[in-house]
Amino acid sequence: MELLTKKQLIESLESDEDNTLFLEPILDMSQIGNVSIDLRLGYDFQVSILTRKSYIELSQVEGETHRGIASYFQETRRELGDKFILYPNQVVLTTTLEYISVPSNCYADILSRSSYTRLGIHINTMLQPGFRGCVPLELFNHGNNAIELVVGSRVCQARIFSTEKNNDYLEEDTRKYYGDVRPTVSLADNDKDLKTLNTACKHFNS
Amino acid sequence: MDQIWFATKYLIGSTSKEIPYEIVYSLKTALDDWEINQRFLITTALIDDPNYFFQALDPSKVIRQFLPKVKIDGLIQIASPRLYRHKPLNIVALYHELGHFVDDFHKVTSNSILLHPPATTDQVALQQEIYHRKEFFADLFAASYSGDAIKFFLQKFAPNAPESLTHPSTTNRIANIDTFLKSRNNKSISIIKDTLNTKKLPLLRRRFTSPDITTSFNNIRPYQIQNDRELHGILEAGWKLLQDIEKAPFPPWSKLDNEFEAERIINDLVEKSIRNKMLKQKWAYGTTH
Repeated sequence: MELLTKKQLIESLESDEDNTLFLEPILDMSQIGNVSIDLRLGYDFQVSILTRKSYIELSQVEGETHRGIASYFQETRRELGDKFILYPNQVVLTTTLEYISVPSNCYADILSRSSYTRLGIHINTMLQPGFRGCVPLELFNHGNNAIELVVGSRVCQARIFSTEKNNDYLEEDTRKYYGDVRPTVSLADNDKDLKTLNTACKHFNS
Repeated sequence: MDQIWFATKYLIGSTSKEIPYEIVYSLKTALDDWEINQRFLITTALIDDPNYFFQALDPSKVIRQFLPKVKIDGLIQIASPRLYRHKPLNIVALYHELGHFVDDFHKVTSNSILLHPPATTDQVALQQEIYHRKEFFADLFAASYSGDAIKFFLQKFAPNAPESLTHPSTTNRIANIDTFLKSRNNKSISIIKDTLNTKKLPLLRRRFTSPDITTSFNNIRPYQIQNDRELHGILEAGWKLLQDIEKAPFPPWSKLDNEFEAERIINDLVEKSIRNKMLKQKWAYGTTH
């Protein structure tokens, strides 16, 4: 594994080849640093809300009503430069402004920029080789004060690592967020393992 | 009272921050071509039924009450189904609805009745002729920006709609659009063109270029829209790619989980392509002013 440097990042971004790093839009070339690329806050949000049901249920029991996870979130959209208030202890799903495609021989770590970490916002996710889409960001305000975020501000950074082999992103049959351009609520209740676990539980634990 | 209900409905749709900003941006760009020398705000209501419509509103009655500080001359109220808010290919119909606004604003159909009176005195037949001329104008308006996209939309959502008092049959509408896009004339098209020409209004003509999105989209990447003609034309390009995939899926589309994934991704890439153009335009303004 090798961490890509500024020269390699720019070469890959400027290449016309299919299997290269792609980032659009790059509003300012200064986003590309020595070993990372600054990414901006996107404009679509899914805000967690309280509902009449007291918890989010992941297991789907046959014959019983299952409340979809999406109903615990409310969509809201913004424009570049608009404000978004992130309240303490609230989960907000969003994405980066940029659409990224990661080469099949690279993966990316996405981390909050230190200025935002110091406000109490931690972002820590990774993108698999071959990923396509706006980077999903799960925002959570760990501080005691609401924070005003600005759409289009640089909130996180990507570090790109090259791998030895190519990986086909679509080879695995568990891809749930391919080509997303806006935040998608968790599809945890669709995990195939949950059905297996439910069947095992019914048989052995009851 | 009805106007207050309508205005409230549309303004809620616009201020709840759910509207399809991308397609509204495209509509605003189209409107710039039509010498609308007043300040209109396009408001979009998301409705929970599968209809699209346009509603005119007299600003003096409502806007000053709801938006006292906003300097606008009127609202262009366009409604589309909430379900399609992230499906720009399906809300191409909003170009048709914008066509109704342009028609009303410039009184195209009204003038066409004076310049080319229908050969009937029957009131119902006369009313039908007026309605149908309005629909034909709106169809050609939409086709002048979105090309075959509006035709594909009609074929998908109203393939067998018969003629009614208010609407021509889908068959006739599609034939009319085809004739227009082939730069040919028929009676309906000639009447509209002559009316626009006589009143010295902008002309109905192709105002789009269908970009080659295949390299980008087949690599699941948004396309970099080069200009306003491509901004409109990407809708036709998106429809055509989707139809190609549906006829004979090829990688990477054939590797997707289900048949709906290709439609979702193409709509998303169209939306993101438009949004990226908006972002770059706003950023450029911000850095130079």
